[in-house]
Amino acid sequence: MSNIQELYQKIIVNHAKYPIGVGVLPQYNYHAKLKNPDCGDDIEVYLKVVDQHLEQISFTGQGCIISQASASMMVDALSGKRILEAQQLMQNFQNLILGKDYDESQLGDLIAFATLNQFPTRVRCGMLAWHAMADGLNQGGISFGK
Amino acid sequence: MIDDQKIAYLDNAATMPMPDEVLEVIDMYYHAHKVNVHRGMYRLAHQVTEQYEAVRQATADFINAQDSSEIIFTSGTTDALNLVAFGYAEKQLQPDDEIIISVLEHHSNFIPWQRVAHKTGAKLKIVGLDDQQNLDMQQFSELLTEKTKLVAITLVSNVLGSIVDAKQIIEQTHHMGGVVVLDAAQAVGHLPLDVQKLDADFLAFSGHKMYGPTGVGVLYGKRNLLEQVAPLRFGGEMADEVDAQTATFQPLPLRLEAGTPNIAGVLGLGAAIQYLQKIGFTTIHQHEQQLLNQLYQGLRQIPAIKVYGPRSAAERQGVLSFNYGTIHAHDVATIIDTENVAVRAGHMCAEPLMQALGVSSVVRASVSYMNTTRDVEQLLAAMNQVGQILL
Ligand SMILES: Cc1ncc(COP(=O)(O)O)c(C=O)c1O
Repeated sequence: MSNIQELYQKIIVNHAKYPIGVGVLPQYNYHAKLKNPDCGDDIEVYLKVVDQHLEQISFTGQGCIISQASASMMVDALSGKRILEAQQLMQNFQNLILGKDYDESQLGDLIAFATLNQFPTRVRCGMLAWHAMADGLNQGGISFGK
Repeated sequence: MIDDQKIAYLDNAATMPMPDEVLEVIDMYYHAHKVNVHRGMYRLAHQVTEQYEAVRQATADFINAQDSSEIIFTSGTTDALNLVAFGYAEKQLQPDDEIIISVLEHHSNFIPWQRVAHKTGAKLKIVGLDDQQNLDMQQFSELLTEKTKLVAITLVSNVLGSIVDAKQIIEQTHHMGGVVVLDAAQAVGHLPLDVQKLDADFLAFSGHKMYGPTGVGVLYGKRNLLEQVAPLRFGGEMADEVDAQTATFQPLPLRLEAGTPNIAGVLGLGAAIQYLQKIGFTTIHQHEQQLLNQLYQGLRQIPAIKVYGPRSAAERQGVLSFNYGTIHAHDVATIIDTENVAVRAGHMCAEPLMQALGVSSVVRASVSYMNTTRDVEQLLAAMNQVGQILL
């Protein structure tokens, strides 16, 4: 498989086509909107945080396959996770798509983004939803980092 | 690394390549003639100053300005438009005055006017598109009143490629006593410009969109209007007599060109003008029309592709924007990039227009005289790849 075929493999395209967690959570307590200035796409992430857990996550907004699939997989991977775990996973995912050392065992389906680092102009798309989530928590007073 | 020999470069609306004759002039300056202008006493300084000023005359002739003092060298279109906005409009406009711009504008002919309106209290009105996605001339006539002090409009849309009827806009605006600023960034490499025939008040363009280097551009203004433009930068070159407390300034054009200019850029611009004149706009136009036609016909074979703007190639200059079904423009651009096709994808610095078209981004292919039918074929072949990977 070429890099480009791998980037747009079924799992990514399907997540973008049938995303998980689209909509506004009825009872969110954290949220943020983030725009990718390169293309004008934006993603808004809603979080319901209870007892240091990301009890529920959702998102709205339009975007390319990469940003949509990444958002969908993020919801899938992080729902119910402790904040600390979410932080670690985001770091690990970021390492993956920046071409740094990562821990494959934790990533699950997110490993599908392994070739994104070959497409530097698209790294921002891959991180958009994650950074929106981090913004929402940081702005709400939970120091999450980025 | 990327093998640039094989790249089908179809992002000419962003910047055009430079032919050898332009590169040689720039090279020559940096290798052998790198002296400053307007100040040295030695012969070489005099010679380069003469070459530099000869480009001013050549630029005046190129756009048929009455006098070379109506040509101000800037760093580009953005710089030129900002000079009109903050050196002229901000000083002239009063609360209650009105500015008209259009939804077609590039951010650089949009944001300065938002700022001027904000600072002066003038009102900003925006002309939209008609149902053919052309500038809505009917709406323009309705928005235009005696309060309209300034109209800033693009000659060619950097997204749709459509040509705006500037002559009509200028006539109507002058009738109401207003001044017209033309953004010629996307026109200058494709169409002959005649500021006298258009009766344009101000006109801005960039060297790098007409086979010249980056970092150089032009503001044309009618002499009596340029006299009213206040310098935004002060320093060397533009000063005349300076004592401890006061300074007087040079006459036009130097008054508006503070500091050491982009000398290599200006010389390169001169070479680019010669290149354009050597080939001629008729030949350029024919070649580009052929490419655009080929592109349009090829894209039409893919039913999911939607092309924006004028239907016929004859109504557009250089640019063709489209989307492939609901596939995001970035995904299309990334896939065809791996087939060595360089196009632009995104909002094209024209977010108001994207909103008017009801999309967040488009794929834009743009041609120059240096493209060949092969480049277009490469793009069309790559489009099939998009379908294969994503559908
Ligand atoms: C219509 C239009 N106006 C203005 C500009 C800005 O030109 P520059 O970036 O050279 O200042 C561009 C460049 O893309 C353009 O297409």
